[in-house]
Amino acid sequence: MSDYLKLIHNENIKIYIRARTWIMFAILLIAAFGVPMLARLGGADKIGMWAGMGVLTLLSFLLTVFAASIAADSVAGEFSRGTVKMLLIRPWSRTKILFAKYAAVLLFLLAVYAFFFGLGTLSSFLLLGGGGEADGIALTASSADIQEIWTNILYRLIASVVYVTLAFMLSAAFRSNMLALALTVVFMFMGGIVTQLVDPSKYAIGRYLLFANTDLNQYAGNPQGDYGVTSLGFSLGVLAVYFVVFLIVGVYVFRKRDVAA
Amino acid sequence: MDTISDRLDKSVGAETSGAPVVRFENVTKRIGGKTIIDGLTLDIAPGQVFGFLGPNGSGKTTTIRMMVGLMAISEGDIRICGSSISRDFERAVAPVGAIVENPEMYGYMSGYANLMQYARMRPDISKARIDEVVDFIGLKGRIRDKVRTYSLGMRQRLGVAQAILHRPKLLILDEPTNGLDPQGIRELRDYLRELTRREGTTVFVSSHLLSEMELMCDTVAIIQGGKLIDVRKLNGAEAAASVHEVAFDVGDPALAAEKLGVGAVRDGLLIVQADREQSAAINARLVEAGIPVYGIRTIKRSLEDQFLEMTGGGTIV
Ligand SMILES: Nc1ncnc2c1ncn2[C@@H]1O[C@H](COP(=O)(O)OP(=O)(O)O)[C@@H](O)[C@H]1O
Ligand SMILES: [Mg+2]
Repeated sequence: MSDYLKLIHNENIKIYIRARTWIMFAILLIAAFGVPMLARLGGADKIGMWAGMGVLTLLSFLLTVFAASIAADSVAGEFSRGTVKMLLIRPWSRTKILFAKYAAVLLFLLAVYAFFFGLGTLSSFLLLGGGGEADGIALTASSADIQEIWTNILYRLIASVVYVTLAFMLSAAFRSNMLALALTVVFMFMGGIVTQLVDPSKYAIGRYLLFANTDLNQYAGNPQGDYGVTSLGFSLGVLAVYFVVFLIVGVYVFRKRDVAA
Repeated sequence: MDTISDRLDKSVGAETSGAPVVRFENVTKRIGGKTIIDGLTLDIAPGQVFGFLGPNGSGKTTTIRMMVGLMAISEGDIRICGSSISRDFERAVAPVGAIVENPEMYGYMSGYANLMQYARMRPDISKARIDEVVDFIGLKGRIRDKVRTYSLGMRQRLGVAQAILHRPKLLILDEPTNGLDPQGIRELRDYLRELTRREGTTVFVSSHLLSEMELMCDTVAIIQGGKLIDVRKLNGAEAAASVHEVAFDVGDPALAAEKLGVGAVRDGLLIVQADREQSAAINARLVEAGIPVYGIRTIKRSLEDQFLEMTGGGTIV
């Protein structure tokens, strides 16, 4: 097992040694402080820190895109650099190597979430705290507001995992990081249009589409969701199926194809 | 100049015996209906430098890709130290170190960090071992620099380093002299000799240059169009007993030919048909006759001619 951790360690090094990774963290740092700062300058300091956090959650797509770009490069980058042939001639099966990469990608996703919302909590407290209704007890008590924010973030994290897994699968299948990232981003932002065309409330097939289920926060206000035909459990089930399918396709293609890079 | 005594010295310890390190069993590779490797059957005995010679596009790299599991084998199997590369990959590849085509490295990491990547994928490779290998390949001064600043030759050296880090039983090198200067080629050759002699490593080296193969290999297999054409011993007893053209670099070749009563003058050299013992005798006679001998070299014209003939000459670049 500790030998396998070394494989994951290798993949972590490939991620964190690169300048672009730290540029991502720098952007997140700026956003985590900048948004509450703007809110304060805009005279909104009375909204309270948790409302400030609510605004920050809207930026979670950045976290997804950053992690998806790491995922997209994880396999495809080895092919474009030609290093894949150096990597695959070690006494580790392709499946094991692929999962070490996947583990490092998921760890990166968790890292950006923890970094962004950790800093966001701090900056919201410093810049927006003290004025809001709930703030007196914000850091110690469990109010409904606080609960809602963390649930919101958790739901977004779940959707991010699915998109990042998609990017990872596309990376392994197409061996092009640009294509993998571009397709993933298209999927992320195309959802609204597709669900309008194939409205889940009208067509049964629509509710099984990835897009109708990625926004788990639709159940915060309404247990039947935006279309009135799904539920939290249903969406989690659909996401789980997509997740597993992405992984199976990724592993299958990565194991099967000849490496002639 | 590669003298006969050099050659004899090199063949010491290269006597081959024991179970084959690599066993190709009717290996066939088809890509999109095209047969690229066609029924390759070949055993490679341990402890030698084995040359895999063929013109460009003959299927050397494809064969090597199958040997290390990068490409699936369409038909047949390859066994390394008895284990099937297609059915028991992890075990079969464990004793292998390889460079397939150009060694590609992570340019954004140092040479050392690159080696660490591969060291972590093997059990017990110590820091001392890494240092030893770095020292050996002569990259000590630059090992902490980013690989993107390396020359092609330095990358080749780093490629060799990652391949030998774990003291492989089988070292596979795909056209390793590409990008090396003559000095580097010589070092590589000496090093491969050393590996087979000292650690018993079997080296499988591909090339499209016969002259290069002759200098470093004990045995050469020739392939063309994906088919094995010939396997031949170059050094050792069998080779020593056979008659070759031998070139003597002497003070006055015309006079020498006259004194010996045999041989001809070509390109300022005395050329004689002789086996190993006869060469030594001729040398003694020349020295006796007061003709200085500056060098003796075996010319394997027959193999070269055969290779050119078999592979259609013009396709060798
Ligand atoms: N991935 C591939 N798809 C189709 N043909 C290939 C592929 N790889 C190699 N070939 C063909 O197989 C033949 C052998 O190639 P290769 O093994 O690279 O030769 P060598 O290494 O001896 O120069 C060539 O004709 C080449 O065009
Ligand atoms: Mg080749």
